Amino acid sequence: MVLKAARGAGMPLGCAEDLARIAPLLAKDNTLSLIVGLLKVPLDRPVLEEGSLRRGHPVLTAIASLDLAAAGIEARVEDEIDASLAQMMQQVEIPAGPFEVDTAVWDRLNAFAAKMLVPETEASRLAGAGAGLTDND
Amino acid sequence: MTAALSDPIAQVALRPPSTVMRLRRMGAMFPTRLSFLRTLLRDLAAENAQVTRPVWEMDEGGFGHAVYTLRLGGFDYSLVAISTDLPPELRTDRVIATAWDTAYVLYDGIPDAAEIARIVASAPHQEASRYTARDLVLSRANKSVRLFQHTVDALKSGGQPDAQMVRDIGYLMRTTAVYGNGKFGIADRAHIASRPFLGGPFAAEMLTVWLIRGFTHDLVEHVGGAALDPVLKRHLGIGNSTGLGMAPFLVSHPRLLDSWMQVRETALARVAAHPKLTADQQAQLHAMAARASRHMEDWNVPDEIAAARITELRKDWPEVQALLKRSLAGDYPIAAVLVASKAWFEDTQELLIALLLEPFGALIDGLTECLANPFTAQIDPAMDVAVLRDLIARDWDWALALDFDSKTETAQFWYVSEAKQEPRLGLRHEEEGAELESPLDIARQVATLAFALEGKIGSVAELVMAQPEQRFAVRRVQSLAIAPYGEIRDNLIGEDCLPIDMLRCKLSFFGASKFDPKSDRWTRITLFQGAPLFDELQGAEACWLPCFGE
Repeated sequence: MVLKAARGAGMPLGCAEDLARIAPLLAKDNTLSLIVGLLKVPLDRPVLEEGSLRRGHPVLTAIASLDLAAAGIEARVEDEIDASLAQMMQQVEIPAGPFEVDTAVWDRLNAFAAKMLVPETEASRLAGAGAGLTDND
Repeated sequence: MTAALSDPIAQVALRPPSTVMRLRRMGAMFPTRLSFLRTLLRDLAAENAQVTRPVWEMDEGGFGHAVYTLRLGGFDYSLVAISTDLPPELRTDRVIATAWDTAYVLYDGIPDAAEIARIVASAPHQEASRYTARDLVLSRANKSVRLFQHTVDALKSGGQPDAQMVRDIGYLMRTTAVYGNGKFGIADRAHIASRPFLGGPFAAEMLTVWLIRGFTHDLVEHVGGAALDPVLKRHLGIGNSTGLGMAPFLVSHPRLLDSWMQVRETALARVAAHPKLTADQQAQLHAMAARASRHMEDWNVPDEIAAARITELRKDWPEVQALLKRSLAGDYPIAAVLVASKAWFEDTQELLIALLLEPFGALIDGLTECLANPFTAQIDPAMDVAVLRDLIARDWDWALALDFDSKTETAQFWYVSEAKQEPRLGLRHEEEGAELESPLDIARQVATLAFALEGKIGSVAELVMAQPEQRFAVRRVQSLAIAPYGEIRDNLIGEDCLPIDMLRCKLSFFGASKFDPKSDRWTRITLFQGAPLFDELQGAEACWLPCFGE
């Protein structure tokens, strides 16, 4: 759901994948609402200035900080949320669900995800996009 | 002198991904002894698993619920089966249906009365209900109205169902969905991934379907008031209708797809390295070739393209058997057969490959331990973009050769429909919605990345910081470099892409047979047809390709 929601919010797919990977960590701590907040933030790309990543969306900044560090390039993060996200993204062990998710949070994520849904048309239905109309024998 | 344990197992070179990972060939695959359901049946047999039925609360019409239990690898599992009276107008196999003849939950443990009541109340509503981590798999199935009722009538009148009908239909019910891995609140796959025998891909789902099959036999005997002839019963598997919903899985799990393919190709490479075959191995291969021939006689489908391919297979097969007769007693016989097989079309080649694996369980069955792959694709940010460019040039030449400015190479787009929230395939230049397409356009994304890399220097980290929209394609390129069978090497948005090929590949790994395409985007199949019944697991070794009457 987080992957779909992040895509619906316009996040680049490769970054949405990284965010979705840590969703169970947030769900386990009942802090999945953090992601809802992140999906409302403009998706600005971070800029590396004097060894610090600035002015970027927290998810893009956290990912860039880890990437650049792995490439041996100094890239400090100054924002607490950026640093917290980066720390979670470094975790190897991700807990397994299912987790109870607050209905309001789920609905907000669902609303973002719904932005990627394509309305069905008569043409697509008749083209047999999925399965047959019935399969009785 | 015997080989030391540390000696490597001999194998020839694997067939290259450029040969194996083409849609046409993937769409010609057949089940093998490495398929998930065959692996499960061997495990059940090795464990001497005993299926019991502690609960059977069914009325005369066959409506009510039942519980089946078995112990596997030190854990108890139960199938809770619910049969409801479904008005004919509500019976549809589409995944978007809202009512079914039967519903099922594979339960972790043995459910008490309260848990049975919970499942009986919730499972018939399927996706509309919420489940718990004790629920491992959720499924539902509809009756084959013709065969179920005919069988009931035959049993009630003291006879048996018509053998021709049993052969032609081959199942009493069709599953229309088998959900696992955390959907609707059921347990995540990680919950059972480390357990013996359920850690393999779709093992819990296959166990569920095998138990469902037994339930359908019990149900028809209950309503009919008499026992089925075991020969007929054994031929009654579980039908399944599979549509586009299954296709994106192969694209979204490249590391897993690589593992499945590597296992099969490694098995073939090991078998092909045999310098000599024993007389028994030769006899087994001849017997299996004859079995394949009988199977093809039973395999009749209305789809013209599929029927023509089966006809060509039947035409080729006597030549295949003649080749086996000429070759199996010689040196490196399997390798020689594989070379000679290139004269035939993909379907014949792939059926022959499935056949050649059959007698060599001791050599290849252990490879099934490698079918599961817990790893996801990782990005290597330290890689120099020049190296990334080289990888694209080496592994993605087929993608770079495509003209994505042309209408034919961009003719289709994958999307998720608003009404059904299911994967769909649209015509880009005729339908709306392409701006919301799902990311199955891997070849096009990598071609775009290649263009973006022109003239660039520095690390991947710097590239994807400046261009995060390239992160997905970078990861695919880097992943393919270490998992070479992880990508379908065809354009999945091109005019020629037939989703049915993706479905057949995945279903063949499940162990499905009797592929019966209903269009280029959905197919009927059967699972566990000809497979051992609950009390026949000692026959688990010999159930490749069902043949009626055996």
